[in-house]
Amino acid sequence: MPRPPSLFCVALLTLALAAGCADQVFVGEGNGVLAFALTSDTPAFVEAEGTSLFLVEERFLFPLRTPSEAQLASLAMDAEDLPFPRRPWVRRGQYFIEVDYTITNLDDATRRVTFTLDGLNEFHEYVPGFVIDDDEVISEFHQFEEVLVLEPFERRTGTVREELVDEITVDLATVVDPRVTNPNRLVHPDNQSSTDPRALPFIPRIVPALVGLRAGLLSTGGGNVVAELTFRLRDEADRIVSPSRAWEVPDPVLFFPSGMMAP
Amino acid sequence: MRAVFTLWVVSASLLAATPVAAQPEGAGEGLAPGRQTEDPDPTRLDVERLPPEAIAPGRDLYRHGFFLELHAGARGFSGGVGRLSRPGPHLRFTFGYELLRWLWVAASVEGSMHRTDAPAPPSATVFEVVGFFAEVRAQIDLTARAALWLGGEVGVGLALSDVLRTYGLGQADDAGLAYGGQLGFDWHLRNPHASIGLVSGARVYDGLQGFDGEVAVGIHGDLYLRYVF
Repeated sequence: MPRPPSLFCVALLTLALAAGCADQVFVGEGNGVLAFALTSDTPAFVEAEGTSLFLVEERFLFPLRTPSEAQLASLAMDAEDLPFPRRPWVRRGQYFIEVDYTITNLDDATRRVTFTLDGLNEFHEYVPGFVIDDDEVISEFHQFEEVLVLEPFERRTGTVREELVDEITVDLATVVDPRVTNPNRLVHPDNQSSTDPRALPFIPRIVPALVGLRAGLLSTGGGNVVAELTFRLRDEADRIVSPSRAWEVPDPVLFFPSGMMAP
Repeated sequence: MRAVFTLWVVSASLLAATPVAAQPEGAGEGLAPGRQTEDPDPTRLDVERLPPEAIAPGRDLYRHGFFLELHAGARGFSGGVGRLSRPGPHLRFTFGYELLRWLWVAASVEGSMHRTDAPAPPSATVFEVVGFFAEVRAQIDLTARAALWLGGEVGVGLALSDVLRTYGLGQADDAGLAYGGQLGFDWHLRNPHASIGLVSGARVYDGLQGFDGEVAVGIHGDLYLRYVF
């Protein structure tokens, strides 16, 4: 006799697995797309005789499960060797982040812009500044940078994959260690510090997960350029909730790498 | 050459041994001329009890009652979510019962996988659409092996991913009403339980309509295997 009941069970199992594999969620208010623009009305972030630097940034926080008072209190223990006041509520590896972006040039002229990402965790937010050298404004390295030369009305899309965001996570947790003297080397986009022997001694025992990202458009020429982003999270530890129930993360300490530069 | 000669000799011997006409047993042994009878032969079959012709094959010879179907094929959408996605593989399981020879009822669970095909962000993403349906079918037997059936179905359908929300389909991952019908051609195998067939159908999915309200119609075409218990 054939075995249709077995086939039926296999089918149900397949559907269940398909449902179980759909663990990625797009986070964000509304339709989940974060959009911001650099426009001709955007004032220069900094001006010098030679150049002007235009910068627009948008901060995005992930909807995280709220810890109880008791849970937060328990995190204060066993944190003496960490560069944070307590152990983090969300840790690296509990969820994974992927960012899809589209940058659109609205002008009838070629534009050169840099798409940037910087991380923030429960304790620190990375805020790169700029250096003026011979009247030239030089931006410090952001934790992720993608330089784009956009033809008139061109749209360019890209993806910041999970391992790149993981690198941002590790860099942010490491760069705040007082023993680190050159943050720019650590966060350089081409420097994979999570596997770099020069950085490994400074990676803390527990790495806090990112609770948000700050995306930006950086340009020395201005223009009308739009950025659209989506954040796709793969939740492995049930830390992501609906935005209405999300944890109000305490404001992190701003970390300026300029302040850590060796004299 | 020797083999051909041997075959010729054997054939000739067999022909010689074959009687020209079978003679009844006992003929010419004390019976009156012109009247020949024979005694019942207990070794013969009672051929008078066999039907005069072979039984005509028909659907009555097949099993009827509860049945199970496995469908596999493809599905695409027209309108609504169809403007944002590509067709993909479709799988369906149906369990039902034959109330009358022409009236069937069934319940189904199905799923299909699709890839988004729309401007980023987000980048191309795979999502699944699942559905649960109740169905009423009317079947017409064309021949002993072929039949046509028409089904009307209603149920719920939803996408298992929230990627469609990023394109403005805010209700796509919530269970929404779905209804439609399908037309099938059934071919019974030389087996009382099993048949195979082709089916195609279309359904309206309320939850997968476009952000501007455009109706989304899912169109599927499948091969199926049916097993009647």
